[in-house]
Amino acid sequence: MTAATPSDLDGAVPGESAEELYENAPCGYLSTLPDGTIVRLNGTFAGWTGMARQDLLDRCRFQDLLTMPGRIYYETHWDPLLRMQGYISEIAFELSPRNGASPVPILVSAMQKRDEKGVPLLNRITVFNATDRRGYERELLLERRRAERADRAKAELLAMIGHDMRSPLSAIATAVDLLDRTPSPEQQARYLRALRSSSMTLLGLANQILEYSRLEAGQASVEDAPFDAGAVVADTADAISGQAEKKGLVLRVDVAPDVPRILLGDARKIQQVLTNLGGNAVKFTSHGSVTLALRVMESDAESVRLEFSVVDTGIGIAGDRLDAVFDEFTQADDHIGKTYGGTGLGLTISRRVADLLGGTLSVESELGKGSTFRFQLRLRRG
Amino acid sequence: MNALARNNVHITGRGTQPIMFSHGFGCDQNMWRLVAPAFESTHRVVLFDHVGAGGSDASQYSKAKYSTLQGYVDDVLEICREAELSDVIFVGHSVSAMIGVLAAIQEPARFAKLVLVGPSPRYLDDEGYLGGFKRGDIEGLLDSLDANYLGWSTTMAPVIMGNPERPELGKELANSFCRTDPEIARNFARVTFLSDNRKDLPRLRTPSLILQCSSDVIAPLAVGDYLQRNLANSKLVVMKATGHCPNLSAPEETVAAVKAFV
Repeated sequence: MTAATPSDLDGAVPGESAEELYENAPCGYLSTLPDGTIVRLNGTFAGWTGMARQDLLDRCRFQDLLTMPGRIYYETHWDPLLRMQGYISEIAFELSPRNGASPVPILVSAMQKRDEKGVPLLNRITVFNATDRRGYERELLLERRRAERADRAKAELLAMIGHDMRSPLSAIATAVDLLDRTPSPEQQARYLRALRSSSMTLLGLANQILEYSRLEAGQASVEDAPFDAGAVVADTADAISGQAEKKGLVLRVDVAPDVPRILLGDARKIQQVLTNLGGNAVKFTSHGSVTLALRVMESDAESVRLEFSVVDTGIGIAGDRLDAVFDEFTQADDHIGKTYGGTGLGLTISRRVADLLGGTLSVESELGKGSTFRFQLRLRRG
Repeated sequence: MNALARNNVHITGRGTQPIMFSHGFGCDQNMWRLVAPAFESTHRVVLFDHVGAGGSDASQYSKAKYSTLQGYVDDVLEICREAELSDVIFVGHSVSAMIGVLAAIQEPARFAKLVLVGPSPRYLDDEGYLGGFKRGDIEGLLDSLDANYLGWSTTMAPVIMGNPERPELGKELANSFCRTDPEIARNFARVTFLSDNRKDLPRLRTPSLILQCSSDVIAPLAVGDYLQRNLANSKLVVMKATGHCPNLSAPEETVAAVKAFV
């Protein structure tokens, strides 16, 4: 390569000319009358429109080449702004090609040429093809909306946690106060029970929050040890039997006989999911039954696919809310939190744990009739 | 809150009869800079910004209040009361034309005449009605606002404001369009383009002038005809000017048409 001589810099570059640059530049150039009528354009821009040059020149306005949303924007923002300030930069439009091709995202800047009295003569417009950039911007925009939603959800969670902590804490404060004043052993025993129950509620809440943040931070690990799946179901039933009995519910356990006795997996995490599902079933059912079942879906020499299910006869979930119950911090209905308490974290955690174990968590429900939660996962034989 | 401050009201002119200019979606009172001065010697010229636009007090924006045109109508009537305006000639561009129609229906005694520049009672097509747009067009516009306000708020404003050689250019943008909160712009776009005021038209008694541009994609000729048929005591003038903003693209023709009417 040889160094440029002064004459080269003046314009005489072999193989390059201002006309050729204008015509074939990697961006579109056009000049229009102030009303948008195209009076000059380069080949690059003509190519993007899919129209012949003679059909564009003096016959077509720049705004006529835009998609309808862009035309509205052109009339309400672009045109007034260009007329008022004489230039406009980096406006996103889409060209609507006449040959049926899909719209071309473009980024457009313009300057207005005016006479000495300030009367507009021409608009000079530069057009960049922004196909890749627009896709990226859309992703950013979606990401931003998602982040804003998550931020709002976290603020709501904080409010809910505060609310959920206040009741047991004030119960504890009151119980301690009363304990201090009463000499009666029966009374003392009653207050101690209240203290124990409120402390357990708080402990449960703290565990949930910790568990959630561990999952959120990707710090949770999975065990792979021999365990008895049927026993896990029975243990879960034991854990929720007290509450079920208090509400007068029938609690059933139904483990299919072909479930292998020894499988490899994370018994603690499976039980965590089941306890959450079982606890919810009891919480949202005022009469009838809760059934914990386990059956084999598929089986081969190496592994089995199991389905744990929790069936209740409770309040149920409306069809349009079914998908949302596993979302972060949502309950099926705003008033559910107020009536039944809870942060809505339980199902979110359960879904995450199910994912972590390579399983799936799904729900079927009918409003007023009850819900069935199914937790399926594949486990190796022990 | 004082409506005159909230809506950045400017009152000039040496006449007594008020002529009130109301801007449309996407703009602020600067839209009238080539038209309003022509009335200063004969009228009391009232300019203002809708809340969320230009120099208005955006902190007064409430999604509930401005979720229908009524919020904007209330503001117009409040300005009239505070500035003690009566016998008002109301000149409304684009969506502000319908704001003026609704205001004059609610307080007919306050308004003498209405000038409706590029008006439309409904932008979406409907059975037996051609508004010019489909719902998808409006959804697309909202995306387009997102794409463009992003650029304006984060990169364009500082670049222009930090350009000391061209302060006169930066000022316009910084003072008007950039001040529009993107969220407000989206809501205003929704309120504007999804409104349907066709049922209100027969209730207007105030004489009106419909100024229609030839070849205006926002308000096609069929819409001007529809308005003229449904507004009692109205006159339709189709201007030579094209586009949606004759107040900027053809100020002389606009001024002449308004003067002939008032």
